[in-house]
Amino acid sequence: MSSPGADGTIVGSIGLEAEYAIAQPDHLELTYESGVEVKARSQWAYARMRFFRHKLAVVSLLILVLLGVIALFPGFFAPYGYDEIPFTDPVKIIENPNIVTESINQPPTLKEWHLFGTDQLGRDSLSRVIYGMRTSLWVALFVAIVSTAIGTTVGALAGYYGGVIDNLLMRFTDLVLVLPFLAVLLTLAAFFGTGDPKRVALILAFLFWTAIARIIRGVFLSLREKEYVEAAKAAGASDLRIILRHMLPNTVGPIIVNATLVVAAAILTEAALSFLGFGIQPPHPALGALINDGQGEGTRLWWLVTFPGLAIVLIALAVNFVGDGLRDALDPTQRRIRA
Amino acid sequence: MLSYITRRLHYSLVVLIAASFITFAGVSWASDPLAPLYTTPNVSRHSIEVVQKRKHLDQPIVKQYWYWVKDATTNKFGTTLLTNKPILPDLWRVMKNTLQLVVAAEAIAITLAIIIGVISAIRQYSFIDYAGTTFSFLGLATPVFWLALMVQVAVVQIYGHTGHKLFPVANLNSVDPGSGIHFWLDRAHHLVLPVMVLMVLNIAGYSRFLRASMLEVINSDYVRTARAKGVIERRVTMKHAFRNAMIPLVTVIALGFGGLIGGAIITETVFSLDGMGLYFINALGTGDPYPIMAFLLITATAIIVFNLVADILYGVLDPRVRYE
Repeated sequence: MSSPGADGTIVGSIGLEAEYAIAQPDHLELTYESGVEVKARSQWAYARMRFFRHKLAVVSLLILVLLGVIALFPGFFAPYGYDEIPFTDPVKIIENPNIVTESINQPPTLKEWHLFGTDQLGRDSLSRVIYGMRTSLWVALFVAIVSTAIGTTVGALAGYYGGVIDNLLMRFTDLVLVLPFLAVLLTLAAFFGTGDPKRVALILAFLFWTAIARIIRGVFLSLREKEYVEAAKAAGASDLRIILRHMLPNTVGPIIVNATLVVAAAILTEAALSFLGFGIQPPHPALGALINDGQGEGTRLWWLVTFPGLAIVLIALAVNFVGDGLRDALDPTQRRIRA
Repeated sequence: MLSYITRRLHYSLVVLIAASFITFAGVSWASDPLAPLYTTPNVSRHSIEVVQKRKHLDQPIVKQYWYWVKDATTNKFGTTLLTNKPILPDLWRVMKNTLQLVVAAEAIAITLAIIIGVISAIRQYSFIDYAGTTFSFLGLATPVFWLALMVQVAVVQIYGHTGHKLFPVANLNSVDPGSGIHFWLDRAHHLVLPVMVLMVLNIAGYSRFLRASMLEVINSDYVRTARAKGVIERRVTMKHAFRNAMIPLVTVIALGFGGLIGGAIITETVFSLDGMGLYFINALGTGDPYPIMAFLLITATAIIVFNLVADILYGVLDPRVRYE
């Protein structure tokens, strides 16, 4: 762990290491021979057991599932629409002439379900947070899936073959590492982003994949020397078969763990970009953009910046805990802090 | 060693040139900094052409890049596009301000992180350990810009409710800061909140890393040997464990430098401090490649130098590491 080339690009990824060794439990034969009756369990069953021992991770997973369901059906859970202004309908103004002053800038209240208050246009803050969460979660998942797919492919090829692909990967990584990450991201977003969530997600994925590629490359470099790979080669298996059938299943642990960490990093980075005005912009809802919206009046209408931010913290915290639980479950050799 | 440094510097120079060309080409290709001129009614066609000629905007991108390289090397990064203002004096001013912010935040962060990390490790599972772990989990999950805003909200709300004005929530100085010691006291007063916000993320990261590193060393064989031969505990932790646990922190701090610049961009924007980060954000707004390139080039050079110094320092601190 004292190698100087540790990874610096992902926020909150202290302890990502290039070297992974995958433990293969061989308890089954041992217990059989010793005559003790033990239920046969697959490697996944062990992983599941280890994960469920991690209480914080289980609770976090439940919270994430709950937030995910809310984000999937915002129309069902949000009390109002995302852009619903209560006094656009002239009939309502005639019915109640004070509707404007009564509905704007309301602090959090139980009245009419404005649990997170309302903004300068009377829009319900809770509904806006729910719709914003939907976009932010979508972007984070997209970034995690796309960057993991690209990173795994490039990392596997670079680690297995070395040579040109490896060289290209490492040179590209050097190029990205030499510049300040946020500044590069801002520059890209300023000139290629249009405030559209899809564009922002693509830009993020484009910068996030190198970290994963380097990690997978490290795993493949060490797996390449294993006996079973040699055996597969001797048996005449093709390179593609060796990579897909023999090596990739043994890297599933690090891949899943890092994909989880990317979700957290992507949520935080997208929020920062959107807050600075270079990420997702209105009319698209996003948590960072909501905070940007409320910023001008933020010190007075404190609820406009507080609740979207709390949502970000909750998601990032839960994802990090789940990532820790997954690390313990899938990749036990990576436990860095002794229990 | 010397050949290693020269080789690294040569390679870094190549990376720097490649990075500068890609960024320059990307920025110039994607943005038209003259766009606001076209829509301004009292700007004639002729004056737009003058600006175009002066900055060689009518040339292909490779030539534009060449002109930029000439400007950057012989003319101190050149001048801004629309106002034709020299870039370097502005950059010097904002760099000094950013350095004050960043150095203060980093110094406090490292000190606190060492204290938290070491105590957490030698008193594992104590209250301090749990508190430190909770803090670092929260710190790593909290967006810097939101923390900055919440601090502002808290200070303003306290002022609104009790009338106590704790700290200024914007700018580097008061309107009339005075001079000498008064100026610096005023500056320090204004920097309290930004420094506090900027250091949280690094305290969280460093203290968690140090705790793990310290635990690893404490559980190693030579520490057990030291205890076995009767070295007093204080000496074991301070002399045998602590010094070795600190070594990898050098690398972590150097690699975190890029992140610190990102933090400075955000903090300076929220607190409207006249620093490099805000300068960069404003430059991005205009789409003028010259100041953007100046910022990226200076920060990239700083990152390269930092990483090189960290690697050399690592070799000095840990004699097992050899550079060929």
